[in-house]
Amino acid sequence: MPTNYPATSSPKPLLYSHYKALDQVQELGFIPVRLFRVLYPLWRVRVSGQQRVTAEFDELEWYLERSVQETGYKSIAELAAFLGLEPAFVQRLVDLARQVGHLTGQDEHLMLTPLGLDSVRERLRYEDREINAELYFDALGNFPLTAEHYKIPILETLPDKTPFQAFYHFDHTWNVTALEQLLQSSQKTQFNLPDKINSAELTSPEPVYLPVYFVEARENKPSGTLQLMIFSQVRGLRDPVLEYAVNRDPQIYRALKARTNSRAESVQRYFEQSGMKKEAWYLNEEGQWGAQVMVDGDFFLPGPTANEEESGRLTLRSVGRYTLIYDWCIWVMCDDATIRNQAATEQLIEWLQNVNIRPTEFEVQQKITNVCQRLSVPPIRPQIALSQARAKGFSRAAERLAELDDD
Amino acid sequence: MAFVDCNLPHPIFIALTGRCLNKASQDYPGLALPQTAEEVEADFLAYSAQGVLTLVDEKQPDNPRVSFCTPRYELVCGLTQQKDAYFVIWLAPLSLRSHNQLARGAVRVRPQSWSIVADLPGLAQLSDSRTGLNEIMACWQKTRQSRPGPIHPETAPASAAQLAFLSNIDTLIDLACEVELEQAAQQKRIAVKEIEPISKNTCRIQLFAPVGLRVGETLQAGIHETRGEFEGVVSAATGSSLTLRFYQPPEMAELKRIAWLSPKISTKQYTIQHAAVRALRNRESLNPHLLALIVENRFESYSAPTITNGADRPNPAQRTMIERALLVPDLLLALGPPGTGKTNTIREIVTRQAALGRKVLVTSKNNKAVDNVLDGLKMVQTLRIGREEVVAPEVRSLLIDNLASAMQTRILEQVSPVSHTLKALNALWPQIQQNFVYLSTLTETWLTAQTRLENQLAELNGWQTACFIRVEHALDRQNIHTRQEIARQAELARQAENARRRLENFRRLNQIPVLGPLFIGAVAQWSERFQSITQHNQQISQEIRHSRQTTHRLWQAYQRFITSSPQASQFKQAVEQAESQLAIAQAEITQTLTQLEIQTESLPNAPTRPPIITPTTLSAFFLAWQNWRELQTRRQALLDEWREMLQNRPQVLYPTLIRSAEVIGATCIGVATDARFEDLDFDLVIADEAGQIQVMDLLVPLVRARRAILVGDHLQLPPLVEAEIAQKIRENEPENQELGEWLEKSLFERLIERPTTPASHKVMLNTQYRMPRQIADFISAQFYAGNYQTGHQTAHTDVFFSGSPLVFVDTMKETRHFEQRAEDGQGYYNPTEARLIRDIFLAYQARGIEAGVIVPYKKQAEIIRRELRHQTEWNEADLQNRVATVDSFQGKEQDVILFGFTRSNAAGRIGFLAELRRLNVSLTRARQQLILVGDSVSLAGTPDPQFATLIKSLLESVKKTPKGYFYANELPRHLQP
Repeated sequence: MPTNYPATSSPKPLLYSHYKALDQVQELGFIPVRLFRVLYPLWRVRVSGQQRVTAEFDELEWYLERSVQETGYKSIAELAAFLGLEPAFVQRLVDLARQVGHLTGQDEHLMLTPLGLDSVRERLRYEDREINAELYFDALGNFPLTAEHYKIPILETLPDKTPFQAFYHFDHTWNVTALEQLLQSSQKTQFNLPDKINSAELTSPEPVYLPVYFVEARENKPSGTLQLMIFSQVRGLRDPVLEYAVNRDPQIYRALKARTNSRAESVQRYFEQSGMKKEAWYLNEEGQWGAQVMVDGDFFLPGPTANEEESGRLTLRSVGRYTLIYDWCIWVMCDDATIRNQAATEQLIEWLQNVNIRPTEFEVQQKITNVCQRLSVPPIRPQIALSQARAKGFSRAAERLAELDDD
Repeated sequence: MAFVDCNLPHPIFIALTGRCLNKASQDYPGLALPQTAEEVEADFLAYSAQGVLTLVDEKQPDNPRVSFCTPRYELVCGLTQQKDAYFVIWLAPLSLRSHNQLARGAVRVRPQSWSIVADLPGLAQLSDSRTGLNEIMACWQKTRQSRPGPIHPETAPASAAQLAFLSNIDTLIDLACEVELEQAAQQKRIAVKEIEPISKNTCRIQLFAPVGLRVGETLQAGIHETRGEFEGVVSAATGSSLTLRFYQPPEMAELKRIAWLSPKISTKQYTIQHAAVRALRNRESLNPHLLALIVENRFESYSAPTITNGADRPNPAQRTMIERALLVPDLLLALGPPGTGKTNTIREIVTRQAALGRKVLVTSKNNKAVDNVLDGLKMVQTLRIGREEVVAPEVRSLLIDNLASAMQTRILEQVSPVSHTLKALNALWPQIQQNFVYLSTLTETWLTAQTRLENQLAELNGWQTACFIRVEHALDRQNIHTRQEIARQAELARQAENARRRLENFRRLNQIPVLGPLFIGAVAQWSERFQSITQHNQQISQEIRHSRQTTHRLWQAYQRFITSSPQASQFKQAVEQAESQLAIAQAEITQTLTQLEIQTESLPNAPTRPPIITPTTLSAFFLAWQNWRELQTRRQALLDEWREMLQNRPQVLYPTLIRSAEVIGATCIGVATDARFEDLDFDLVIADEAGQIQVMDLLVPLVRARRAILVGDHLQLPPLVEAEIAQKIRENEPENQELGEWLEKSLFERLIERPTTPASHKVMLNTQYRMPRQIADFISAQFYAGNYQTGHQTAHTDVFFSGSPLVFVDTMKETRHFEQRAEDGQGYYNPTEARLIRDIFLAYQARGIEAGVIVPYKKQAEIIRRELRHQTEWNEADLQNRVATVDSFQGKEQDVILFGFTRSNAAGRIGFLAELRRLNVSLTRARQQLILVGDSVSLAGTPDPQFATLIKSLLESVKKTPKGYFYANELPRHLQP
């Protein structure tokens, strides 16, 4: 069972960049239409119970327990003599084995318990531990979250200033039957459940919150229907469990529908507020990649920083990909080849700087090809990218680019 | 989040026009929204008990908008012109924005009733129409004021004070790290003069000059200018020579080319310290209340025992500490002034905790203090974590590598005879098997013989039966005849009786007179008849006898036939032969079993021979042997596996040694440096010399233990503060006074000095057994407010100062008694004092008494060592041990201590002598005799009032004692060896 991620009251940032989610929507063959930053309410239930914990056997313990099983010795003195250990040391090992429930019986009548037998047979140190676990249930539908969700940060309280918006649970309450149903479920191993539950209670009458992106997307084909995709910090980012829970509840979709501005209105308002003339941009709502806006090169800020993106300004990072204008996902393009070239370099070094696992040369080349294709620019020259990475202080990216250059 | 109830004593009227409803339907096709005002009213009435959640938009304060929310939709309303009712501006599904606001709090509006009307004119007809807006606004303000409180105390966000503490400690760690890195950058490389390999990974290095490298220090060694190619640890260092043990041994050719050394800077300790702070911040410390305890003094209450009387040792204070250590739920502060037996008390606590199965960590800032406690521990499984070079030789056997290695050797020795026994069985097993194969053959023979005997006996029996049948007819006939004769004899007897009675009767009649002769004929007739019958009867009796004799003869003849006839002899011979064969078979079995017993008598727990030997019991016996053999084979296999594993992979013992260790000893940082020990949690951590441990070090063990005992004395040496770090704080954080406080004061000192620290969580060891009473009483009055007592009462003896354990040798009258500044500007020395101390020291040595010298300055210590180097045969290590600064002497003791104040100047400047805690340490190291050497005028005339008062009291005290005070020029005479 994973250890719960330490709860935190003010994580910064709450979630990865929305670009990552939008890129993934695109990779999945969908066109993102709208994206909502949501704090999804969860019930946190404290459960106490027993859990069979598996660990590697210490060799010495394993041999001691094997000796009890295989040699017929039942006393500490015999076991000590057989294994060549001090009786006091064997006594301590026997006490440890008793503590974890592997051995039973007094001296001279020592024998393995069923747990001990299982452990010896499988060479795994099983231990039935009393544990206190925390379970998360979707606060709107009492749907349990999987073990994966316990590895990601949960907000105990709502942060004051955040673009993320919380869902209110109204009169939904946590119901203990949700736990009972979970225990009956054949898939209960997927959840953060102990093997045996002694008690369960809500840690608080108020929910905790999980930061997620709700992405309204449609399949990239003429008859493509709209659907709601959820992205959280689970592995692979798309969160099928929460997606199932959310799509079951019409109340959620209803809330997302309650809008006032159309896409065209939103885009217009955005550029007006940014001080751009009408001639400097053009919106095509039926573009190849969904809604697409062509923007003059002068508009783009030189590089992405968190503040600029939070402020909603378009940066080089936005060119040739989906970006967020209010809630709307718009494909941003620029007719200025220089800007597109800069954007390609910018996006490459940003990716190299932030990618978790060191990419292979093939992966880097593939990324360069993709980025350049997307932005309709010739392939990026590594030396230019390298000098730019150095100038920006992107050491990881520079290091990787330098290696490629060496190669 | 905050929800505030707003109960209104009047109804609320809302106008919801059909146009508004129509627009909502048009704007949100497919979403189920209300179609009529009545429908909305019904919804609102359904919520009237719990209240309709209401949000307020204050963008236009004079005309705020109010949103009445249901799970499905919201009514965004403004006030009518008359401000007596609401009208719906729009109706829409409940937006995400409104959800977000509701999640942060809202007003629960409960009017007398809800009235939703379809048109505005309708409102005009209403009389007592009111909106309650002011009340709603007031409640709304409350929802925005009250912020959520902590949900769970243990997961509650840290308080401002806690956050400030954590931030300060992080800053301190960062600054210390910066200083170290800066110092490293400035360090020059040390040129290597000569290098000579000692073993595969060790070499002796000769430098051009002594550079003061310490044992245990990590160095990097390089061939080229640019970078250090190799790393190793100093395992011995004397003067300009050192022994370096490489982590990865270089090739011989490379080794010879090593040109320079430089200390390897590791920032690991700062990473460890940061990790401890992070654990506190994330509530991951084993004691979840540790942060609150440190910052806000939140100790957990418990029933603290106080022992006031009892045995001499442990004395009541020590017993109080021991008992409280067992019970305290979080942290106990134990003040242990010099010589009060804190080390022994710690050992007692450790032993008791271990007996209860609790895992204890004994820690301190330095290795020496840890080793000091571990060295005397008995009957507990102890493990020492640390590098061999820095661990005291007495406890090196407790290092995991050494423990495992010793254990490996011991086990292999111990299991060797067991293995031999099992192998002996292996060698013997073929013989045992052969025995059983032979036994099996014997059993077959036995069975055959038994069958044959049984057959022979059956045949004999058959023949005898046949013979008997034949004789039986004759016997029967004879018997019938006998029985017939017996019957006839019985009839004759009856007739004879009848005849006798008749004869008797006629004889009586014959006796009658007259008539008698009439019967004479009858008498004769019956007499004849009677005699005839009697004769006949005799004949029959004879016949019967004859018949019986015939029967007997027949039987005897039969008996003779079945026993003595040739046929009978033949049968008997056959039976005897079969019996003999059976006996032979049985004897052979018995003999074989006896042989087996002899062969296997050395084998442990071998099956025992069955008491009755039969084929069945023999078969069971063999089965028992086979089972035994299987068991021994399993044992042999397991033992072979066990031995092989131990021989090839002794490191497998580590986890169990770690897990089974009851006591772990490590420095504060050392406990976290080795990944093998990172999973160790402790029931109790005992930090010795806690008064010298800075909080960032102490947090490392504290976060890994459920409970803690801090043992120390804040009135002795404080934590060692590097001047560079203090300077760094002044430069970087001039406003932050707390930083300096946390740097200079130990956590122990801060906690014990807080007035709010409960008495139950403090204990003072108040009885010293080290020094003479006179010294202790002076210390008690000066440092411990009179609470420092002496536990023994012995008359003072000294070769030079008998009766006066505290002596002051005053240099004021010496011609050149003033101090001199060291050439490098680092500290002071005083040649006059140095010579005096040397003379007294040598005088004691001449009497066979070992003395120790304590001085405040390294330079002065060097001068005294130099003086002594020429006049003693001690090696450098001994000299370092005997003549040292105060910092090296804490925790040590010596029969005679010579303390030289060193400082002597006209202005009364005393430098860091003003730190009285150093003086406390210096004055409390002597077991018998303390001799102070100094310039009383300069010392007593210092502008530092506290120091001056102390010196004056000291002088007053020594002058009262005979032989307590001398001018230096009086000494040589007095100290004539």
